[in-house]
Amino acid sequence: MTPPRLARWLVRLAAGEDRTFVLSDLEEELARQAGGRGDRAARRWYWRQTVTSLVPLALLRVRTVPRAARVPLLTADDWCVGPTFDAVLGIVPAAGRAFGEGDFKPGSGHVVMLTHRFGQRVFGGDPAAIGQSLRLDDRPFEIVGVLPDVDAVAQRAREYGVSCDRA
Amino acid sequence: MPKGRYMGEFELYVMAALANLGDYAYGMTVRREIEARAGRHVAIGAVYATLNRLEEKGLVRFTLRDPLPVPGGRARKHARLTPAGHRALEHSTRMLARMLPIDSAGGRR
Repeated sequence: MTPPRLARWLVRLAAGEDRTFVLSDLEEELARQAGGRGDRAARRWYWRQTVTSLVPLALLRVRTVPRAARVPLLTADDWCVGPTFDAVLGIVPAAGRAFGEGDFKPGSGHVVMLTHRFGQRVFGGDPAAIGQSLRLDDRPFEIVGVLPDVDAVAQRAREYGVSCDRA
Repeated sequence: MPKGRYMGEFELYVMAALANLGDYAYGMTVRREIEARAGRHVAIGAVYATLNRLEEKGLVRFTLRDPLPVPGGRARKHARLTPAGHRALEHSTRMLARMLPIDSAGGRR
């Protein structure tokens, strides 16, 4: 069952960065409601959710825009490095592993190392983050390691210049 | 708990739902859990707004999950309480229980 187009558009407009997840959740529940109570009741439910969600979603969007502006969105290009990244900078991962030659072979999956700060902010420092999937540039990257908590890593990266191979 | 870190009623509901749901906690399951237990209408937008606020406070962390490899599989943003979140929930519920006027038989005075 498809959601009411206008309601979906309104949610999409209001929800900001979380729009994919909010719409996905709503569609999942819409299908569930349609199966139990019928299409008409499910559409009414969707509209009620839309109307009552617009204000909190819009407030959330307004509140999070300045934060997003201060911290540019992470893209894969920002973080592309070569296979000797950790060796050149003398980095020992705080958790998981560093990049290996196998990660750079054609056909190998995308992998990513988190900075200590990102790992704390998004995963609460939980080592269970290793092996999980993270979407960057709308592509899934497997988290293989976490960088140590030292400013020197960033400083060294700036000094040496981290090359980016987009191939 | 430092001043300014007290949680609102709905924040407590959301955190309790996260504790109950464990690995199955994401926006819609949290909404369902609160509706089922509290018997009130809950807007999905309010759940997401609250989850983001709790994440900013360091009480919740998100994990992005890829869509299931089935037709109609959807991406989800799962939420979990951090250790600080568990402590805050336990602290708040304990303080609330201490503030309520309970007699020795367990009923309200």
